[in-house]
Amino acid sequence: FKMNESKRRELELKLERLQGHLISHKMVIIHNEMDDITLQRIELIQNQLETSLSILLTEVHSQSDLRVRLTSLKEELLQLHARINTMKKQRSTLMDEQSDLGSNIYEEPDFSHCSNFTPEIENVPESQARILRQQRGNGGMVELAREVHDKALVTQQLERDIRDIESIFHDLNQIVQEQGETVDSIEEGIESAFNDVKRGQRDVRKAVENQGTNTVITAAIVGGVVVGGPVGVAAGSTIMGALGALGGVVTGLYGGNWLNKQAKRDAVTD
Amino acid sequence: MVDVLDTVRLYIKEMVHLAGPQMKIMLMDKETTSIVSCAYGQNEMMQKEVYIFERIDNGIQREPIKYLKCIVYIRPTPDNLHLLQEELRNPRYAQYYIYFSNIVSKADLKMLAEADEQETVRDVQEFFIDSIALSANLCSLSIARPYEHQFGAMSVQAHRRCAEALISLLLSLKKRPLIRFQRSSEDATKLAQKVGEVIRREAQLFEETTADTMLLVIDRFEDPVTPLLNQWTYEAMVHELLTFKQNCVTVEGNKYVLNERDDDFYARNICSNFGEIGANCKELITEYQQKANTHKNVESIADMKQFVEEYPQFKKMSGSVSKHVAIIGELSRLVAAHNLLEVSETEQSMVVDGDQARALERLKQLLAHPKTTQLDATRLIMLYALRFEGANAADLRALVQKLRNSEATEQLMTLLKYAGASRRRGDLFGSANPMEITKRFIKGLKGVENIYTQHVPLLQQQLDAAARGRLVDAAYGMLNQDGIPNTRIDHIIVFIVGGATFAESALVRQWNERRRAQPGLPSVTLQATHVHNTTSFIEQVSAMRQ
Repeated sequence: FKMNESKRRELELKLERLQGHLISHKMVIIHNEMDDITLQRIELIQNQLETSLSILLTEVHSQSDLRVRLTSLKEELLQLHARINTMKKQRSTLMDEQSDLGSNIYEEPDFSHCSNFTPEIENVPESQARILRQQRGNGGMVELAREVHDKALVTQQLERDIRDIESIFHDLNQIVQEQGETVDSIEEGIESAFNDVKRGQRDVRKAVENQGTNTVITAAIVGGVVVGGPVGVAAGSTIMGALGALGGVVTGLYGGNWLNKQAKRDAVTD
Repeated sequence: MVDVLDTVRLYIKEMVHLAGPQMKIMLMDKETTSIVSCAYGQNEMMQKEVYIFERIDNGIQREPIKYLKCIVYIRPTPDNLHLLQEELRNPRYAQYYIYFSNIVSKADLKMLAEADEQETVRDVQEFFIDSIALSANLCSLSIARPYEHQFGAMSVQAHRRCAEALISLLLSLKKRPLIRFQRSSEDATKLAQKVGEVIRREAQLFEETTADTMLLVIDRFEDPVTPLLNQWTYEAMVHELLTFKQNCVTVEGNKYVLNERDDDFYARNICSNFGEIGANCKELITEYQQKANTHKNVESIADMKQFVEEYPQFKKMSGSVSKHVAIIGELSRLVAAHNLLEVSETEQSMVVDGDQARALERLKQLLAHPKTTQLDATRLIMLYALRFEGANAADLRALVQKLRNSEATEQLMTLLKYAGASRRRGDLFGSANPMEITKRFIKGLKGVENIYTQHVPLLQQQLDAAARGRLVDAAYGMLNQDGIPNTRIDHIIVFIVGGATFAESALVRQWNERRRAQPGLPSVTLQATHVHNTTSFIEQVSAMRQ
C-alpha cells in the first residue's frame, strides 16, 4: 500500500507537469509557435505517464476499486493520445493548406477562456474550422488533465475512507469469529465445565493449604465461568449476557463459600 | 420413511415444550447427554430457553438456582433413580419435568414420589429415546467393549442395555416386529428372545404399534472384514483416520462438530468418495473467495447494507470452509504419509479377488515399506488371515513375524477364534455361491469402477435376502410370528451385536435412497452396540482374550 502511495504521488507530479506543459503548449499554439518538437515532447510525457499507470495497475490488482479508477484514468490518457495523433495529422494537412492560402489564420478568434469557448464553426471556412477543432482539443486536454488531477485527490480520500471502513469490518469479523469458535456441542460444553470445576476445586484446595484469603474470589470466578458462561452466550443478547453474568457472580460467590467449606473439609480429611 | 434422528429431535422438542416458557436447565446422565448432543446443538437448545446443561451423575455439586425450571432426561437405571431421589429431597430448582428414556417400574415411581417431599415435580413421562441417533438411519449405544468378561458373549450389563435400547427404539417408532435372529450367535439369539419376551410382557405399551416391521439381529463376527478395511467416503474416512467422538472430531487440537443438519457441505458429501470431496472442497473455497471478495468492496451505503445482511450467512460459510479445509487437509496428509492408496488397493484386491499368491507378494512389499503404519500392517495381516484361512500357515507365520509385535500374534489368534471360518456360517467371500462367482467373473470382465471401493459389506446380502423374504430358517431363527399378520414388510431394523461401521451406514443410506425409486423396497434402520473403526474393532476383539 505504501508502494502505491508513493507511485500515486509520482503520478500526480507527472500529471501536474503534463498540465503545465499543456498550458504552455496552448500558449504556443495561440501564438502559432507550435512545432513538431513540442508535439513530440507532449507525446513523450504521455508515454511516460502511460507506463507509470500500467505499473501502478499491476501493483494494485488486489484493490479492485482502485483498479477501476486507474483503468479509467488510463482510458482517458489513451483518448488524449488519440487526440494528439489527430492533431498531428491535422497539422500536417494544415501545413499544406497554409502554403496554399498564404495568409495568417491563427490570429482571428480570441482564445482567452478555453473552457467557455463555443466557436461558430459553420460560419468559418473549412480550414479554419479544423484549426478551431484542434485548439478546442487542446483546451480539452488541459481540462482533462485537471479533471484527472481532481479525481486523483478524490480517489485518495475515498481510499482512506474505505480503508477505515475495512478495518472496522475486520474488527467486527474478528469479534464474531472469536465467538463462533466455541464448539456447538452440549456434551463438549459439559465436559469443559466439568474440567473447569475440577481445576477450580484443585485451586481452592491449594489456596486453603496456603491459608489463602482470596479463596472466595477464585471460586467465584470458577462459578462465574461455569454458570455465567453458557447463559452469557445465549443468543448473543446483551440483556441475557448481563443476567448471566449476574447469575454467575451470585452463584459464584455462593459456590465460593460452598467450595471453601468443602475444601476445608477435604483439607482436614487429607 | 423412518428417521430416527428426527424422532429423537421431536421427543426432545416435546420435553422442552412441556416444561413451558422461562429459563430452563437440563439435567442428564452420561448417555442421554450424548443423545441430546447429537440431536441438538447448544445454540439451538438455548433458543428454546434451555441455558444450562448438567450431568446428574458426574459428582459435581450443582448450585441451587431457584428461578430455573429443570428438565430431567435420564435413563431409568438404579443409580440414576437414586441420584434423582436425592435431587428431589433437596430440590435446587423451581420445578422438575422428568422424562425417562425407557420403561420405569411402578415401584421406582413410588420411591420418586416419596422423595418429592417439596412437591416440585410437575411432570413424569417415559420418552422412549434410549440410543444415540447419529443420522436418519443409524443409532449407536456407544458400548465400545461389550465383551469385557467372557469370550464370545456379551457381559450381562451390555446384554441388558442392548435389549433396552431395542425396546425403546421399537416403541419410539411404534413398531411391533417380526423378529429374525442369527442362530449361530448366542448373543443375537438371547437378545432376540429377550426382546420378544418384553414385547409379550408389555403388551399394553405395544398396543398401538403397527406390525409392518422385521427386526433382524445379527452378529459382527459374520463379517469381520468390513471394519478392518480402510474407508474412502467422507464420514467413514473421518472416523477411520481421525475418530469421531459422537459427532465431534479433533484435528490438531481444534474440535469440530460434523452434523448434516446445519452443515450443507457435510450433508452433500457424507457419502462422497475422497476424490469427489477434494473437488467439492475446492469449489467451496472458490465460492467462498468470491463472496469474500465482494465483501471486500464495501464502498457505498447499499454495499454496506448488503454486507450486513449477508454477513451471518457468510460467517457461517467461513466457519464451514475452515472446518472442512482443516479436516480434508488432515485426511490428505494422512493418506500420503501412510501410503493409504496402495494399502487400500491391496486390501480390496485381496478381499475381493482372492488371489493368494499376488496378495502375499504385495503384503510382503507393504510390510517392508517405511510408510506402512503398525495399524495398517496389522489390518493387512488380519485380512490375509481371514481371507486365506487354512491355507499355508507358514506364510502367515512369516508375515506375523515381520510385525515384530508380540501382541499381534495373540490378537490374530483371538480374531480367528472370534470370527474365523469355523464360527461363520455365511458366505463372507462369496466363494460358495455360484451366483456370486458368476457376478465376480462378469465384474472382472467389465473392469472395476473404483479399485478402492470394490468391497461390499455382507450386510447387503443379508438385506437383500430379508427384503425378499429369503432369510433361510436354518441360519436365521424366527420369533413373534404373530407380529406379522398378512401385511408386507415395510421396514427392517437391523441390530448388529458387536458394532456397525460407517461403511454399513452408507450402504443403508443408499438402500433407503433406492426406496424412493422403488416404493416396494422396505426402509432400513441400523442399530448397533457401537460404530467401529479399525482401531476400536481390534481393541474390542483384543479385549475378548482370556
